[in-house]
Amino acid sequence: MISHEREIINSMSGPELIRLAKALSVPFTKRTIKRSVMEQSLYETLEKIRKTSDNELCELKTPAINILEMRKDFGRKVAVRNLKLEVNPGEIVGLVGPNGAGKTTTLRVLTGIIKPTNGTIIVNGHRMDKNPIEAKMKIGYIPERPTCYPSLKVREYLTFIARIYNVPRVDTLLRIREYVTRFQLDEFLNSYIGTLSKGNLQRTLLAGIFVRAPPFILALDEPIYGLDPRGAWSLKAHLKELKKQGSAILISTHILEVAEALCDRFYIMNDGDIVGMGTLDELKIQCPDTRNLEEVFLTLTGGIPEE
Amino acid sequence: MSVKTPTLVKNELKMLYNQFVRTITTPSMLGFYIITISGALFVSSIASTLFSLAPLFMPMAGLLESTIDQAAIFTAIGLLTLGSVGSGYFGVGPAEVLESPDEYIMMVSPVQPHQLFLGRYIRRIIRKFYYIFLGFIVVLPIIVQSGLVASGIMLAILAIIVFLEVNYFLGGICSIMKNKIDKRFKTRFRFLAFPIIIAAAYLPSLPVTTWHPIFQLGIPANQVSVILMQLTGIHSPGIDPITVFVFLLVSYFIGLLVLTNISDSDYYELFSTKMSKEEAEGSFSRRVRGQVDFSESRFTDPMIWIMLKDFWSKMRTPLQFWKYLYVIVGIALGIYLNLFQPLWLSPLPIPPQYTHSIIPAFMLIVILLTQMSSLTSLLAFVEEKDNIYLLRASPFRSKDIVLAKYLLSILEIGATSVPLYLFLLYFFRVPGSIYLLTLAAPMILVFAATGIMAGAYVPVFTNTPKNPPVPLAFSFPAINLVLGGIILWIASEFANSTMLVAVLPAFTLFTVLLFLSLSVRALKSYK
Repeated sequence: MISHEREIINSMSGPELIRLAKALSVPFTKRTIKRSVMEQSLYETLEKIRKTSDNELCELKTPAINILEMRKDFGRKVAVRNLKLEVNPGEIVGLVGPNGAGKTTTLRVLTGIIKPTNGTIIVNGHRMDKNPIEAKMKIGYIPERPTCYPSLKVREYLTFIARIYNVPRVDTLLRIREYVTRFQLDEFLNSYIGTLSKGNLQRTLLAGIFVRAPPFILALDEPIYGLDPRGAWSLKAHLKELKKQGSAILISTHILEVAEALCDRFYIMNDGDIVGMGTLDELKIQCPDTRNLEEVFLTLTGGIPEE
Repeated sequence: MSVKTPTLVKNELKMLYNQFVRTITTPSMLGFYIITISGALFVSSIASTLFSLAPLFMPMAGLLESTIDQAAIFTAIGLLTLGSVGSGYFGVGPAEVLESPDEYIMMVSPVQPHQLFLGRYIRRIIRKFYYIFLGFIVVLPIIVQSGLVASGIMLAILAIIVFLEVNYFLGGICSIMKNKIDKRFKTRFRFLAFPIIIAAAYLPSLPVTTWHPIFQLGIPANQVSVILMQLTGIHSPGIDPITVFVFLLVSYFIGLLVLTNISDSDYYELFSTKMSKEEAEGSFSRRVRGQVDFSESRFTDPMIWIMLKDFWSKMRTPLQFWKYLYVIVGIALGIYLNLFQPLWLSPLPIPPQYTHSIIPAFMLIVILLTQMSSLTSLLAFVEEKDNIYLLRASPFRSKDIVLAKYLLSILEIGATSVPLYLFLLYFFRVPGSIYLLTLAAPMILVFAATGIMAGAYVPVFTNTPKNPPVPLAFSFPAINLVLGGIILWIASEFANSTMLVAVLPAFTLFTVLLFLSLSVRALKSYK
């Protein structure tokens, strides 16, 4: 962790190093200072802080996401019917289904935007209806259609999100630098969000959910949407890394190749119902004569069309 | 564990500050601001000439006092609260202050619903005060010219704003009440809650209660009535308006605290539902709602197609039906008044010494009324929201798009202006008024073109075309009022010459073509 932070400090710009020095209360009394000396000084102070503080990563509860008998009605229309879904730490679960199957509604209920008609949502051991603040503290959400405050600059937005989630100032600065580099947002840091392209807006939202302390519980609705191949590759690699670190990730996507490459298990939804669940091998057993996720999906949601 | 409210407020203020910085650092936006302020001051100085006709309006105060009793004033202002409570009951309450990004950022974050409401509300109120400040600058020449007491006017404006905010709180509280009642009870008796709430909101403004000083000073609608009566001198109750304003402020803070405290995550759901159902809100029938398949139209011209699309899209908004109803009823009433001149509604008596000096005032009112109606043209492009890029990418020529928007705007402005002109003609008996009114035609043509131009520039200035930048929206009336003034000048300058029939159409044509070509240019420069 410490050597990783050293890399981040090395990649920081001059003003960022000064901000970090202020946050670490490192006094620099000379008018000019060599960058390497400053970096070393900051690094040593950070090392001391990390050694004295409780540096253990908190672990997620198992299951990290637990949806019990959830039903959501919109008037007479049943959007989701008796859904049971679990995501454990260290697992990426795919939620796939045709348009209007109820995937987005599931994620909106899971993240506390709307309430279920029936059923219980438990996030990291906290019930969304009883302890929404504790439940929301751990969950990160990327919506299907990315949108954000157009009058904020990217740096302001990331700092604001860090404050909302009570991220310490030092960690905020380090993580902003880390994820800005990872998602290639450097040149947009001081741009207004309203002027960003869809892809860069998506990257900004992604950086926003990662300024919090890992491990994460993520609900991602089409996270690859709008990203260029490099951005998509970077995100997929990062999600795999997070999985290893013990994060619990639920991804809703239409891109079955992405789901197949990333996810350990799948929930296939159709018309508000779960029509199939399990690992790809288990699904293949459930649907004989299928070779991949695409064929399983088509079989379970209306049959494979004839060529 | 939860975030502190000042963090949210600080972020709201940051967003407001950034909007302001973006505005003043964008040269074109700054240009529009300068036009707005200088134009508004110009118009304000013209409007201040109306005060030389003050004696005309003087008897009106006495007339009002003799015809309307004090209780009627309380009752009339109480209607505003009644309306707010009624519409609030069926509205979205605190969700009104939310924005679409909130759904995915704030609603999912560890923020208490009341904190989110408070943060957003503070931004709303700061924006309101910014508009009041702009408005005050605009009316400053009128205040100076008329010798009115600026503090009195400020107090009246503040009292009205605070009162409207209190009404907003009452509406919000009713919305939350409805939500709770609907969740708690399933019997039909729950519908009785609405008349009970309405009665409770209106009863304190009815004559049975308003005679008592406690009701006069304890109910927001009555408080504002007392302030206005005291400031205008109509039935002045002899109570210091500042003291009553303090009472009104107390009501304001009580309302704010109550609404903040009862705001829970239910209003997230209301907001979410509102977002998904934005276009399907209340209306009467399929046709009134504009749910008409106009793809079967026999027209093939792209311009007509865009007009049809706009017409039926507008009909899908609830307000449009009422607008057309107003046009029909207004025209019928206007014709009736002018033809039969009923005794129960007499025109404004004009003393003979003001017969000629009243003409500029009459024309100024014509300009203002036409300007009011021409707001539709500003919205012609703004209402397209993000679809404007889709329209731009469609195989239509830019000039066809602009022309379609312009022609439909002229129809809309014409329709909504006619009832206003008919009422003006009846109440304001000015010699030759029917001839003077013909000048409204070039005004409609020109104002529609400026509106189209200002609206077309919105996506050039902002990436969120559904929100017109403030200076753009403000400069639109300023430009129009100056152009209206020029039309009047041309008419008076060439009044005794046959050149008028050449100069006025030439000016109108030139201005319209100029603004429409600027619109086409704006459309071509979309990012």
